[in-house]
Amino acid sequence: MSDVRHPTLRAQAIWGERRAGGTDVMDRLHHGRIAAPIVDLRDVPGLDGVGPAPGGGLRVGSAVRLAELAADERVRAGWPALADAAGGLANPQIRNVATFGGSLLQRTRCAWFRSPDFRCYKAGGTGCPAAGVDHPWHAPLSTGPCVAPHPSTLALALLAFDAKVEIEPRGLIEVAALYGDGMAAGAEHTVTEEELLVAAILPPPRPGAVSGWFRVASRGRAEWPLVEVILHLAPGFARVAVGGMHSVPARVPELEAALLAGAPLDPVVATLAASAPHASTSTRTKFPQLARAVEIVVARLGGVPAALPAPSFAPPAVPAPATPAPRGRR
Amino acid sequence: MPTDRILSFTVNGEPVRLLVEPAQTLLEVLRGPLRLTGTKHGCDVGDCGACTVLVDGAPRLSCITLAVGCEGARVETIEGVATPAGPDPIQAAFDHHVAAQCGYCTPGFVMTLRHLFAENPTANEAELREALGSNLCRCTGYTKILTAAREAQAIYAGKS
Repeated sequence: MSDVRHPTLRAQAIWGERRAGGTDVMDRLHHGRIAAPIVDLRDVPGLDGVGPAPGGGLRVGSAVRLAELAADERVRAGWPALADAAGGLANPQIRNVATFGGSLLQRTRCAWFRSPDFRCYKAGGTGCPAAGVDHPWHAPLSTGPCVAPHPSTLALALLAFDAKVEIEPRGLIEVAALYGDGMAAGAEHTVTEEELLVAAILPPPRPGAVSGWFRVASRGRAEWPLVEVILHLAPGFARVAVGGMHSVPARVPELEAALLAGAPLDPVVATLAASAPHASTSTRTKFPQLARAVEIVVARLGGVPAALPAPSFAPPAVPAPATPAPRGRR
Repeated sequence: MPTDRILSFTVNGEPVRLLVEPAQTLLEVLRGPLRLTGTKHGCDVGDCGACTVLVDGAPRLSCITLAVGCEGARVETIEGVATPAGPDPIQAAFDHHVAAQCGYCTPGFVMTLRHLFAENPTANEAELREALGSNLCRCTGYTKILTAAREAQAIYAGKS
């Protein structure tokens, strides 16, 4: 039986399995996948709340519940794909307890990892028992030895919005640095036992931006995705973050370029499929699904926003200040 | 060796004080020492909703809720739903429409609907279906459950 600690200081919330909403940790506890003491973040201060970030962005605390995130008017207005995804995941009861940070740092949902009968890379073993199995849940574009897709939809939203995450004591880092390149098969993220995920910082909304989320799954609710996409589009700008295909949350620049060029998506996904490291009969079916998912979101968003025309006049020169600003040490 | 903790809370209005293990779930405490076996043990991982109880009025999946996290809480289970005067309208409607077949998921559905009708008495069809999205049934195909829920909602509305 695992012990549970209830620290009341952020500095104490280290060394162990961090538990927030418990929707991942309790699952792993019941599958015998928790060895360390559980560190319950319930009483740790400063992890909750949604509020303004410097420069017009938004700061989302790691302990914010998914239901709160989905209902927050600021998120809905400025970063709608994040709100849509938070409100569409899992089921209402899970969303009432699961947290933003927990979604970002949950462990893989791979059935082989969760089964006590196997010992894969992520369970401290030395192989991937799923690698030779043809299963549509596997991630064909994984570049590392683990074939499980990364489970965090909200990480895709952070990627699509070029957000950063605040890790104590490491500081503010890019989302890509939070997850690495997928080559470290033993871990889903780079947060160590001495570190704590505190918040995410979303940059201000771009002018004319639209965003949306679509999930391809075997049933309408409470199911993990086969493929999912989050699109963030603005004039001359496209972000396409894709789930179900990689072992880390990832953007697909080839799809972004195709959207900006108005090019068809099927040749793009066909090229991706041809070079996919873990392509199989089942996972090849996910590539056309990916193209359709992107097209569905684009259609829902009313198309790709047209690039702004180049200015036909020279921009006005910025007048020099009347009094030069003092220079030197302050 | 983890040390047991003293947990004090109320269950169906009765104050309870007992020793629990640190990682013990609310479900384990309800069905074990408290012998309240109406709350069902389904998937154990928060997927099926059979273990749904109300904690301070909100539906919670008791299989993924730490018991020690319920210190001071007001817990309501299926055993506290009916009164000496008779079953709750939700239970009566489930009976009337044969919305319980094997019955294993029924306590979870009833508790979820209790919360919905308390929070949103005029829930429309979409809101009803959304609320029940946390509960799985493998017998009825949901049609009878939705019919029973609509009937119970009307009775609740007439009472208020």
